[in-house]
Amino acid sequence: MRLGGVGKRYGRHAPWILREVDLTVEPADLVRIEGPNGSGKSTLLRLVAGIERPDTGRVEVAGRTAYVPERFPPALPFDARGYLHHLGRIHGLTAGEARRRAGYWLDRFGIADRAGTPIGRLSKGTCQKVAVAQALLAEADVLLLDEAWTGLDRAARTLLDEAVVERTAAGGRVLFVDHDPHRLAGLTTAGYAVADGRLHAVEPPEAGAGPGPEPAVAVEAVGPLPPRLPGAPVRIPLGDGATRLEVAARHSDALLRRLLTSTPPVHIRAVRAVDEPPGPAGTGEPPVPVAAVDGGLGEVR
Amino acid sequence: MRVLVRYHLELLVRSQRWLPPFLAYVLLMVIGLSGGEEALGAFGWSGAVLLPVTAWLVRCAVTAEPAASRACLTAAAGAVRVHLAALFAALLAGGALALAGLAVVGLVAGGSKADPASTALAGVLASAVCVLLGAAVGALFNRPVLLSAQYGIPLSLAAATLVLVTPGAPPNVVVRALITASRGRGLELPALLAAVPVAAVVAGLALAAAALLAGRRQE
Repeated sequence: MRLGGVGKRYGRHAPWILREVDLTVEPADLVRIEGPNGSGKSTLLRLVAGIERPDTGRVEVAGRTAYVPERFPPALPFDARGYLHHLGRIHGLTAGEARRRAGYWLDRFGIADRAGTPIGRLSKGTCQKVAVAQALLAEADVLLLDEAWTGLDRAARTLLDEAVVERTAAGGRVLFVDHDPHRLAGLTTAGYAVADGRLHAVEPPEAGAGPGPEPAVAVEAVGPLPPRLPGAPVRIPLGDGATRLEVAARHSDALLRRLLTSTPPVHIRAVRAVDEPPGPAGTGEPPVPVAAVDGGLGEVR
Repeated sequence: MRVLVRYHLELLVRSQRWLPPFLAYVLLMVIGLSGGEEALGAFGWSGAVLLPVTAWLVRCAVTAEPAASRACLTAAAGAVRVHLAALFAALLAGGALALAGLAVVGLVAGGSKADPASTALAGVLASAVCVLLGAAVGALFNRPVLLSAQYGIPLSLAAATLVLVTPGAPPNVVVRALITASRGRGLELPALLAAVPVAAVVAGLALAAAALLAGRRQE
């Protein structure tokens, strides 16, 4: 995904919203765009999404693109499940796969009970969940989130964070705009600020900006591991072919979900807090064994 | 493309925006025909009414989607395909209305001045030409070509009237042929047959132009 010399203005004599914007985003990049209201952040995302055309320069985006708008309209006459199914099909999924993923995301956002409710009768937050699910079910190569967290409850915001981490772990490119400076701190690979129509690189926010050091979780996994994993865990090979993965506690759910759903399957042998003594050979309590789970994520959590 | 057209058809149906043009068609058919009259003339009237009604259906289809959800579709499928799908959905809705109209007119109309097969064929051809031209008018006088409803609605009505009364325009040719035949002066099927490809080309160009513009123009 590449932008070269992109400029945009609304009207021939209007001021430039964006000028000479150059931006390259590689697979697995998580890019934060910041700037004050009206600075052109949304315009930048809309240019990448192909919703608007640049007046100068080129926008090159390959692969599947999904976009979450700032405000999602409640004026659609579809119910949530029907809308997600349609969008899945339009994203190029088969009917069965679209139905499965629509069900999965409705379930994961906890709105499966409202799947048959017309979007117009959903609350604002639930509506926003549908908007987010619409983009996530595409498993897009380029995911564009324009203040997608706004209006979501705390649990859904965390879930969206996790989903973004999963997407980048699977090699997707994610660009997001959000006014929370700590949003996805420590995971963001690049940050840009839009000011006076120009794009300036800024230092992405560091993890640990919150209070105190974070607890870590160790996961012992057997089997071939995917090349990229949520939360960028430390990998320690164990003698018997297993790998010990150490990751910040807040990414452990995303990491486990990724491992359990990967192909070929990965067997999870143990999950424990990192300060506990490692291995069953230790003198302390043996680690809590985790049964091999096929898709039944509930058993692990 | 098929899934996009289905999305827009469902949007058109569920939003109930199809209802006003449908009722207008029914109303004009009731006003224009009282039943038991000559079938060719009735088919001619039906075709003439279908043209502005299809243009209206296009307006409904291309304005049914809120801008934000259209943005989601555009990100997934591209603006050109999204707009083209909306136009096709309106074309299909117009075609369905035409078929329903033909069936009802065929049932309630009296005898025909031509043999039944030629009468039916003439009715189908006239409807096809008028639906195609109606879609073309609708595509050219709504967004993204004309952005304001203030000009779009009166201009599309004027354009629909114009293509119906201009001698040589396909809708004028087919409606005139049917009315003339209903007065017992012989049905000219070749003229009707010749009008269909012309209408198809005009509609194809209009729809393609509107869709390409949707990919370029800022709204």
